[in-house]
Amino acid sequence: MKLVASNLTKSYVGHPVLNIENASFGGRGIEGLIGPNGAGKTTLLGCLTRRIAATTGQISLVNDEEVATSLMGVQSYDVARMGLIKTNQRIQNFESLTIRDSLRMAATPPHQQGWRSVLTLPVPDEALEAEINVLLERFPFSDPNGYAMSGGEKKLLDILRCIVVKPKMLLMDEPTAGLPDEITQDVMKLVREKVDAGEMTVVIIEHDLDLIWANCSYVHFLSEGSILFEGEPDAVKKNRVVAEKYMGV
Amino acid sequence: MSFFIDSIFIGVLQASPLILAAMGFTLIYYLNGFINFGYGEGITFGAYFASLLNVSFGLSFYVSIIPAAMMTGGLSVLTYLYVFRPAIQRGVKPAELIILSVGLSFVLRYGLILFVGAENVFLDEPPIAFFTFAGTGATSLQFIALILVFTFAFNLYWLIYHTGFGEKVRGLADNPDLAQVSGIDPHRVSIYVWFIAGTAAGLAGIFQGVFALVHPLMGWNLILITVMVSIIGGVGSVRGALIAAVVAGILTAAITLITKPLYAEVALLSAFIVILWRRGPRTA
Amino acid sequence: MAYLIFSLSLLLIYVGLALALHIQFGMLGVANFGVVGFWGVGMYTMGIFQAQLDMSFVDALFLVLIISLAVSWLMGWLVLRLDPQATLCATIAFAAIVALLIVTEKWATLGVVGLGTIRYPFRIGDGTEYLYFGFLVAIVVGLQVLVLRLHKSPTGKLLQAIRDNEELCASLGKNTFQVKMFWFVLASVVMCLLGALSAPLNQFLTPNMIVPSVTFAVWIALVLGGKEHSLGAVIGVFVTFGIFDILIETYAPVSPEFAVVVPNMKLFLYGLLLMAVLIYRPTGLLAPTTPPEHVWGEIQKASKAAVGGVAAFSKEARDRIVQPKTAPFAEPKVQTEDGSQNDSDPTGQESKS
Repeated sequence: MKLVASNLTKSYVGHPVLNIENASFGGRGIEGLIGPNGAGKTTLLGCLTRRIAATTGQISLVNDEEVATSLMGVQSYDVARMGLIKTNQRIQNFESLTIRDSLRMAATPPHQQGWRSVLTLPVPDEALEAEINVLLERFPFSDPNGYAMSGGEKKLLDILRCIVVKPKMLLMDEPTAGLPDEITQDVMKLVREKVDAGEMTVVIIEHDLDLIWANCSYVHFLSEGSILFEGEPDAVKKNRVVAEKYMGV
Repeated sequence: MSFFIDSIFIGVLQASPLILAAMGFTLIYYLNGFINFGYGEGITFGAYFASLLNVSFGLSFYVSIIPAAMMTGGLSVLTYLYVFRPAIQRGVKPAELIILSVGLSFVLRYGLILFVGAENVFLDEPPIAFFTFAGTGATSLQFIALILVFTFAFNLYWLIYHTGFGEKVRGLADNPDLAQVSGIDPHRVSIYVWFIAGTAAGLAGIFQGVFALVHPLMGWNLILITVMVSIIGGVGSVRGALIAAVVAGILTAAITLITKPLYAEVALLSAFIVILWRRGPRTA
Repeated sequence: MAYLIFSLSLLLIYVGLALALHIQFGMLGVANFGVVGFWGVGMYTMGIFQAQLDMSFVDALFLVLIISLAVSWLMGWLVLRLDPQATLCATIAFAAIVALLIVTEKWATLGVVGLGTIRYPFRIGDGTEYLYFGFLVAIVVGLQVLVLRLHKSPTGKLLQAIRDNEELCASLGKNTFQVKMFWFVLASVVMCLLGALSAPLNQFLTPNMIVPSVTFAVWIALVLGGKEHSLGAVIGVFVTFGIFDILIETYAPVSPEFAVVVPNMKLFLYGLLLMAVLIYRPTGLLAPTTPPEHVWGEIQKASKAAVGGVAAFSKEARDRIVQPKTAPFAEPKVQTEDGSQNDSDPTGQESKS
């Protein structure tokens, strides 16, 4: 699955923050999106997932059969149902749901959580429960049967919640922010497993360049609202524009 | 043509208490970000304080205006200090603060009924002169109310937009954290704002009371329309509330002239719901 | 005795309203402050169909259902996309519109003259009221069972998720507006139908029944009982309406001159109780995660505090209302199960804080 944007612009009160002529994400394993602060990375992801209305431009989702669906005018939940899910940079959580309930709620398909479920009270799906158990054993929550307590746990839960929804394409907005190093490594390992199994492709926004170089097979460099350079990590590392604008060399 | 002039004139005259109430209400809404239904009781208490001075102590109506309004301001500060501030400090969320304000409104209203009874009270009106202006009759009292409204509105506007104090209020409303870091004491500013807002409510109640009569439900009857006016007026801007209050007053008058006043209220309330709906999910 | 049955029937209606509001506010986070509007629509349409058009109870109820579906859907469409404060104002305005129209549309409602008489759906002599009471019990028990199951069902979790963070929920592929619409309309229709069912109780309808204090009584009951707990609505109504309206107004030995003061005193205390709960224990008497075995202890504390507050309205009495709420589970002597709480609760739903 690929996400294609063309002539995408977004301005706030006449002040342009995003101006992308042509960009294509997805289909290359784990991709990175890097750029200095204020380059418009989060705005770009918001536009791509239809949480932020773009000022002009076209975004479409191209599936494996090369059929393009325009995302303009599509509700954000429908974008998610097409398989495009984004993790959050800032902590977002369902405070009154336990970790298990939260994962279960996210992964249950709509037809199983309609009003009829009140009458039938279905038993939890075994495959899903097993998957949740595996995740909760793999990641050390202080109380796996309780609530996510710390900011780090909430951030981790946010990422896991997106993964159990089984997206075709996962956008990760600064997954390292607020997470301890070893947990980030574990998360990336899990993501890599899913990508290698062909279950999803991933785009990561990150400031931690080591993580980008270690995991990404393709990198987009965004600056001042436009994509200035893209390519293999080695090519990006060597690129002079990137070096000047970002790495301060 | 005369229909327009009539409705504008009647509208502005009738709306004067509404304009005062809306301005004060907006101040609190602007600063603390929640709808304070207890504000309606400020209107009621203003009228009762005036009746205490005017009827029980026999002061002239004009003399009792200012002290009664100040007493209401004091009451408003007390509710802030002993009800809302502790609640905000304990982390009660805006939706629950509204319910809290309904509780406060019950306590004040029925406390008042328990103490002074539910009977209507009439203020001792000063001698009234009638005259015609632009083809419509008006009383001297209505003109005084109008002048007072404009004075208050002008001063408030000046205070909020052209003084250091106003700058602090706007700073606190826009970004409380930043304002506190830059050395603004939110507690002191809030006390002043709640006092000014309470005074506005008191004045609104005094004039509402002298135009008609004083009874314990008068504030409640006025608060709904005050809330409507202030919310439509924009994101808690004093400027917006001022304009919205005048427009709502004129509209009510215009509709009243065509049909019965109750229909005017139905039309206004429906318009309110539709405006909110048109505006969509952005914070009111 | 007849009066007691009337009061108890009304209490059931209030429990029903509070349960519907629990779905709307407690589970879905929609602050519906127009409860009396929906209730009034049901009550007056029932009255008009029966008293003016002489329809049978069942026919009238069917038409009420259709009308209330339309009204609820329209309101849902208008208010569900708004932020909570705007929703609250719009629903208050809706209730005010209903109350005004009942006064102005005299051709249908007879205005302030009043509309009557509305008959019971069946007549079996002296037992009619009792049978109708039983009917109401069945309906309210049904509603309570629905709410209890809703809490356990996947839908219930979805509703809570929408209440907590609607945008996050939508980003995971949930059609939040549709879900909100369904449950808002369902709960609003329940409110309308409860209105229709309370018409025969009152027999004679007047506009002064459609007053905001009905809405507030339901809200106070729900917030007091615990807005997010499945049993909060029932507990809240018993503590407020049960104790104040039935026990005190009917059975307390008050002198005639004091009896006039009682309704005002009641509303005054409602307000005070509501404020105390919101400031000192925002979750209500029952916190959302109070396990079932703890409910009884909370009720005992609640009724003690409420009775204390009515018996003597003094400083200590106020403190007694307030104190149990400051420490939900902190006092080990109150909750003997505290030590074993984690073990006895397999889902680990102990208090978050």
